[in-house]
Amino acid sequence: MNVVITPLFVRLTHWLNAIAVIVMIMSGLRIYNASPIFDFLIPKELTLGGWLGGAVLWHFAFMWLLLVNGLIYLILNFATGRAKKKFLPISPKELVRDVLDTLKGKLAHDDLSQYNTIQKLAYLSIIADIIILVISGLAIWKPVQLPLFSELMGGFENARIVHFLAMAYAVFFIMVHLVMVAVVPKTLRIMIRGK
Amino acid sequence: MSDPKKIVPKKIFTSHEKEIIKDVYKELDIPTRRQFGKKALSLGAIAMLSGCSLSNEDSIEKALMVMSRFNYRVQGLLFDPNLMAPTYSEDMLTKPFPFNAFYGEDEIRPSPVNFKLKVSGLVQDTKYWTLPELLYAANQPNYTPYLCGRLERNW
Repeated sequence: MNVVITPLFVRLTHWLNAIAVIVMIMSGLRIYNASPIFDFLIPKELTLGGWLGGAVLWHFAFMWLLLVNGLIYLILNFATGRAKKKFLPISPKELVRDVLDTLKGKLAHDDLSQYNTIQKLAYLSIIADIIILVISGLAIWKPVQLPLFSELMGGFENARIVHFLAMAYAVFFIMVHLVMVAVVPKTLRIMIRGK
Repeated sequence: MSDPKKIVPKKIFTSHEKEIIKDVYKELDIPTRRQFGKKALSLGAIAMLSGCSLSNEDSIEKALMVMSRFNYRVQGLLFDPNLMAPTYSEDMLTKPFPFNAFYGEDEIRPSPVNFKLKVSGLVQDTKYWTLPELLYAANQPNYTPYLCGRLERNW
């Protein structure tokens, strides 16, 4: 296979996004620990920043990488028509077939240039999830300046819950994502070299 | 820090007023007292404190502080400085006042009489406020949402 499957901009934004997301999650967990909304704390080893002030600095530094990198990805992905080509169409019939094939353990990964329906939905879901993370994060960061975002999230306290749950989904996605890469290692090579 | 007794300036307060301050101070429960401590602990102030290292690596810390200053500049450009946080009535407060991120319940200093709040930067009056002065001035309670020692959340 000598055709570039994954263009350079996708590979670059993917890895920059990976760095940003990891730093955002780990520093965010430290911020959570300073004022937990649920009945549990996150083990210190999983957090970044050392203490609240440090974690806030990490979080507010890498939010720029997450935001700018994400916007570049979205703009290029839609402008080049790649998003439409890769993510559409999504057919419920194919979804059922893919889910059944997965359960039977024979979901095909022969053609890595084509996403199956589960992949399409998974990748679209993580894009939507990160957008929700950014909006709920802005609602928490600037509730006075951005009251629309705060209202959209159902108020400040709700925005914190949304922000946390969206983070939890991102963690879940990453774990499944990593398992899938381990199952189909060729995908890792494609995300590095493009082909 | 100077002796607590010297903090109440004789020239400003009459003995009657001193009595009031004393009474008010006694009325202050621990959560409210802590609120004073918390309100002074903005992130910027914390970063200035010696012994509060933000990270072990000097260069990382410097880079993070550069980003932090960048953040404040961007916020200054993006946001309206005249927008104020909504205020709430006293019965809407969470009681007891919730968790303090900077020190545990057992580390609360018994008497914050030495407390001084320095008001500086782009403000009309640059000065230190002592606790009795603050209490005396605070005849207009103003409750506003508050999180993690960050006053900047309120604009």
